[in-house]
Amino acid sequence: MEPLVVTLLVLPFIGALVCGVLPRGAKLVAALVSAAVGGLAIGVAWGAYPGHWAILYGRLPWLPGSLGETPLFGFLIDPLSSLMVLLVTVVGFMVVLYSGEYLSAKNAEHAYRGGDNRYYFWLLFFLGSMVGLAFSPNLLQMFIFWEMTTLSSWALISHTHTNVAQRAGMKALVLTHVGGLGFLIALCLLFVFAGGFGFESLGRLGAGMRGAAFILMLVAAWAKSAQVPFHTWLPDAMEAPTPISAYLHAAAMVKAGVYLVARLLTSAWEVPLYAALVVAIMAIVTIFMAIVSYFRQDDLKRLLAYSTIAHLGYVLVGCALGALGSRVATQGAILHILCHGVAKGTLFLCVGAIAYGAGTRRISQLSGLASKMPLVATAFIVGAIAVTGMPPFSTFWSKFLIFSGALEVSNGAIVLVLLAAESVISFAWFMVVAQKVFLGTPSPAAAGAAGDPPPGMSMALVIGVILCVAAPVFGVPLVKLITP
Amino acid sequence: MARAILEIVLSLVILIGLAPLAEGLLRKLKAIIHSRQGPPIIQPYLDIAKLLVKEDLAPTESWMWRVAPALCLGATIVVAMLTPIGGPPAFAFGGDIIVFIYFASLAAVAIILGAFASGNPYAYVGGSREMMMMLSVEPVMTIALAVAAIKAQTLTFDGLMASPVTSTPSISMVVAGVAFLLALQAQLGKLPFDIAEADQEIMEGPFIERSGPGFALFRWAMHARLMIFSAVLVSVFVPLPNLGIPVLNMVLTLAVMGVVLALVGVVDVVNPRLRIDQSMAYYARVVVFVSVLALALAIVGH
Amino acid sequence: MNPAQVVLIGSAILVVGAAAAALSSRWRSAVGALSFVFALAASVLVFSAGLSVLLANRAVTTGTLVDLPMVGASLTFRIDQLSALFLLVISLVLALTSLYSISYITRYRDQHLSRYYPLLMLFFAGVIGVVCMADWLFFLVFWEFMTICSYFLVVFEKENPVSLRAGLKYIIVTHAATALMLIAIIAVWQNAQPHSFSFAAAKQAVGELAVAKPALLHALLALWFIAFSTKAGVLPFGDWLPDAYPAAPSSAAAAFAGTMTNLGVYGILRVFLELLPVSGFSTAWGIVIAVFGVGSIFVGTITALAQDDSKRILAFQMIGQMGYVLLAIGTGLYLLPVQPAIAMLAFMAAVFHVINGACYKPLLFFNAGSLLLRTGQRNLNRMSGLWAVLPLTAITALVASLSIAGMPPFNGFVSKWLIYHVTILGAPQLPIFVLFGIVALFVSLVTLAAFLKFLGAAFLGENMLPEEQAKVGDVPLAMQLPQVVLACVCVGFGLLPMLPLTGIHRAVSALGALESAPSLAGLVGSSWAGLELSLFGEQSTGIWLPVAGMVALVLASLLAYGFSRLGAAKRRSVAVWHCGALVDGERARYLVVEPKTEPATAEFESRYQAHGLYGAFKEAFQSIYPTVKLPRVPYPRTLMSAFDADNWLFQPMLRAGDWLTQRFSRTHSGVPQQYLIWQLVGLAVVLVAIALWAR
Repeated sequence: MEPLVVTLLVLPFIGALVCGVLPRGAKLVAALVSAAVGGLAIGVAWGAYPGHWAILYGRLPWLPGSLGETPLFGFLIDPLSSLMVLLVTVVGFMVVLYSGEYLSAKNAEHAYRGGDNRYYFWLLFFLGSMVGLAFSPNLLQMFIFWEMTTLSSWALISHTHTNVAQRAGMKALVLTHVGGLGFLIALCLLFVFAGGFGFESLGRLGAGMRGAAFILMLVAAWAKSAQVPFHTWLPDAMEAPTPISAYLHAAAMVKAGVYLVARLLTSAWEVPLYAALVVAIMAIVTIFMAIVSYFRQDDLKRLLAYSTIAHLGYVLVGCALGALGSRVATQGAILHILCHGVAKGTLFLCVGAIAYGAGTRRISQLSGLASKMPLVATAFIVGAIAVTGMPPFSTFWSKFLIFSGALEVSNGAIVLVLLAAESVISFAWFMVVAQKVFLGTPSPAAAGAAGDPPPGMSMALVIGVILCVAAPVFGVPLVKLITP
Repeated sequence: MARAILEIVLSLVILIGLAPLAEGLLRKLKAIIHSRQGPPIIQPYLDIAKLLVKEDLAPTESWMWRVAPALCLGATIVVAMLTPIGGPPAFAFGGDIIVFIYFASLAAVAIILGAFASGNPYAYVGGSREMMMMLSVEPVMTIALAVAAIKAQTLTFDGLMASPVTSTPSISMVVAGVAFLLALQAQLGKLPFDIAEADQEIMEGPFIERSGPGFALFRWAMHARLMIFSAVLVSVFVPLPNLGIPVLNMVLTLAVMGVVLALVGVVDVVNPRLRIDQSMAYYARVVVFVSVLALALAIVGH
Repeated sequence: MNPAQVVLIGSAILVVGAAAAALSSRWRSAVGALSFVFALAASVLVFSAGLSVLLANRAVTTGTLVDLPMVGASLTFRIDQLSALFLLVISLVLALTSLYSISYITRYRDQHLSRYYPLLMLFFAGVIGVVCMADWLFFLVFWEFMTICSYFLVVFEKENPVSLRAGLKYIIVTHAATALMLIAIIAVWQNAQPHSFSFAAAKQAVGELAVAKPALLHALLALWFIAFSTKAGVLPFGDWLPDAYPAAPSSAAAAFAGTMTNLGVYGILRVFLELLPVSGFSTAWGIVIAVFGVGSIFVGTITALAQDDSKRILAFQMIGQMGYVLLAIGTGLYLLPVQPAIAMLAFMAAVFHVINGACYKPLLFFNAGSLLLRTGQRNLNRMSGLWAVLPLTAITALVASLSIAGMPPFNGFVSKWLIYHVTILGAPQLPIFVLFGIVALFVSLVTLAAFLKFLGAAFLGENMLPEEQAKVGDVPLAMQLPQVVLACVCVGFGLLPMLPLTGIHRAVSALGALESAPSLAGLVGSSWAGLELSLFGEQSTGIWLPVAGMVALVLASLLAYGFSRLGAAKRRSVAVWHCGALVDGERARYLVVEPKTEPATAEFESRYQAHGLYGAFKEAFQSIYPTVKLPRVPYPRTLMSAFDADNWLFQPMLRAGDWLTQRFSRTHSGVPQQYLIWQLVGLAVVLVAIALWAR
């Protein structure tokens, strides 16, 4: 088990270095590495199920006090981290597979020439960081990997090096990093007042200090997960190549924030009531901010970005309900990380395929694409109804658990009604968009489009569609084990 | 069994067989009011006999066209079997008031389908009007019959004729009877409500293409309506005493029916034809003011 | 193997069939037959399973297939008598629709069949799943699965903007309704101890809520009612229906009409009869449901009269017919605490009407589809005289029309007859039901009018098809057969109502609303020749012997026909007589068209258009079905600018930072004297600080 886990963490970084220096063939190496990592992750999750494993190494001798003897780095393999690693690696493989053909000169939207080394370096670097983040046994290691993902996000958003892309990258970096400072301060507080970085160490703080530390980490999580008021970077980050949007800004990196919150709330300590309320209220505000923004988006990717923001809000609502006493809601929130990740990832990949073939992502210019791109149409519609919670697709199950949890806490009915309303509106809008883009008489852009994307991209879409249905099948057994 | 058959035959003889005679009497009455001599009272029989031997002109090959007249008269015969004449109807074991209403509409359906089958624009207009007249009159009749049914707690004619509701006067039954009487004029296709046929306007409407035997059947069915609906009116709504002997009851009923038909005849003579929208508005008022009043009275127990 | 497992296998066959059809959809001519084979196999299995459950009169279940203990839900196929009854109907519609589709769907030459057959079969799998669930969570899952499949069938003509709009409206409205149901089932789940979604737990929870939190229970019942009546097409929630059903291919619309709309009633029965204890809730909700029912009857049917589109007429009629069902259910619920036997009769009438509807509504959609296939028209103004070309379709359409209008001796008459009895006589305590019954009776005539219009316009009159097209004859056999089968069922159930009523009685008794359900003989008499009602004690309150009535009608008609041949009159074919006006070839000058219709083309000028029928009546009721324009919600600009944190938070912060650094950089002026001054000031500050600290 142990060598497997170490390989799982190290392999992406080695792959990143190899991709960075190889004169050609980076995409092949990346594909092999990500496939291997995906396989390893499944193996590790399978092997660890249903227990909790902690493998710890190393310490920081210059840190005095009680920490001196406790190892600080290592792996914590439990259902929550397994779920996160599965999501990260499986979607990672899809994205690498997809990128191989997407990043080509044939791309009708933006012809990619060169830059493969850079791209795959950062992509695998990110993959490794995410694995490290997910397996973190404590907040210190998590923070280190956290900032590494921020860095790769910056690099990948500005991948095309256009002015706009660079600005967007910088914006993302500044906002998430400044938020990350809250994390750092919270770590200092923990170190000084609780004498440890463990997830449970928050419980050792005094009431006031605990609240402060939690809110500081919450700020970091909001910034990372693009919650109000830090949501503005995510729509701009859509300047990134679409596979990157699918991976970093839908499935994986933005999930780090909610993962942190979920981690904290499922560790054994009493969450103050007001903290849970803050999380819930801000999340609901975010959700409604996002839904109102839907109607003005003409760019498919920006629409999806706002939807991502809303769904991260769902996860936080679930976590908050969990903190208020509903186990089911916590489980739903964590399942939502997975289910939303695969569904939204699929949607982004579809948009990428549309842009690849038709050269535009503008909703107003697209119509009747289904006859040209039946596979993309199928995948998009499945993704859309999956992400908006139409049974029996993935997100229904997680949303459903959150909804159920809402009624377990007092006054949860308000949350339930609000979320149900949001769910219906977002479903309606996604259907409107899906119909507009795929059905109807073909628009000029659609008529001139090439057919379904090349095999690698198509394969990624097919995997996505399968995951949209199957994600709960392996997600539910994992979240079943999670107790707040 | 034999008794049942006898009863059926008797009621058919009265309601179907004597129907042209009733029409003849009405024509005579009309002529008297017009101060002319008028046709002999058996003229309707002669007309029917004449039509039977006349050429049967068919503007269409449609099967519906040929079936319609027989279906119309057939349904009317069944309705006649279900009609009470002073006592329970002969075929009461086969159907109740609702069945009666539906078979009556089936006869109208045959007329309308036959009209549509001809492909003649006037027939379409006539059929359309026939349907609209039905739509305006039916609620009045239904509510009136429902009043009786509610008071008697049954929808069978058997129970209805046996219950005191039909033999002792009550306010609600009187009001319902008035409503039924108002509906009768249109049900029988008499002025001012002969809108569907409207000879001078759309040349007999649904029957414009009819000639010969088919027309004869329709004519007879129309005549039979006179007897059937007036029999229902008198049997159900006029509180005639039960004389104990069915035949005497029947004769008494027939006598009162004569009065009712005379009234219908007089109204027919002195009124000009209304437009369809006018007659619909008229019956809407009847429904709202008379029928519902009767219903309300029946429900509160008067 | 028990029947529940057989049904499970049947659904599995449908799923496999869907996959097979998807893979083979390239071969347009083969995929239909292939799908039919799968559908037929599934249909036979499901039918036999349903029949055996009804005959055994005992519920069966598969074991738990999927278990979700974390929320207390489990996927189990459980078939009780009510499910079995619906399964019989579903399997019949499944087989016939698949058969009909083989030829019908060839009409859509430009559409890929992978969007038809697989979805149709998945749709049926979903429908079967819905009626076999005994767990609200999985009920909802199958429910939405069915909905989404049906949505894709509605937008099958994907280039047609009308279809797309209809589909969108459909899916959004029904999805919103499902969200309401979701809230209801979660609320009930939360009140069950332990938390569970099973019907049994829900029953117990609802029973407790009725005592403990009546207001909450009323709210939940309202949510459930809205959700189910949306699907059933009850106005005003079913407003999507007149758009969506005509948009779908006729075969799919037939499938919806035969199964999906009825499931709304199924749901209402489950909630209000099985979950809800007999109490004041039944009385109150009985009145509410009856009011909605009558509203639908009235508005739906009268609006149908004004339609000129063959499928839109049917769609509005479906709303009206659903109103009859709801009226019966409402009456039954109202009477349940006081007159259980009459209530039982009302429920039976409701279920009977649903089953009858599942025969004639698909049949009518089949008829409309046949017309569409042969003429390319849905507009009744542009059709006429097709009896000559499509005799079989015409006769089945006649049967279906008379059935839906409730004319004797067809099946629709029997269920309506029962409904009239229970409403007019059954509830003297609340006289409003009498009025409802009379409205129902009156509107039944309006239905008749609408279908006379349909028949008259499409089949009667002069044949519109040119010679060469007329020679093709009736629709293909695969389309004829389903129509004939359904027409036979309509006649059969009309003549032998005891046959379906026996099953219905078992189904309704099994719901357990009545402690001891009265026997069938006690309700409608024991004679197979017909029905005899005795609502109050011994005295008979209603009677209908269909066979006797029919024999009388046939004999009387034959008698009349024989009489008309007495004179041995000669027959002669003539041209239509236009009152002496000269008709120039095909052209006549009598054109009765209302001004609002589209201009008639020359070849139809001599005809009376369907639109012209019932003008005065339509005018009187023209505002009964208003089109409500949704208000445009203004975009919340101020709110959105409040959310634009870039604008008011981050940009100003950046600018402020910029400004500060600019200011600060001015200290670096390059003049040595100034640096000296800074040093002195700094020294002074430090000294003061030390002094203060030292003190």
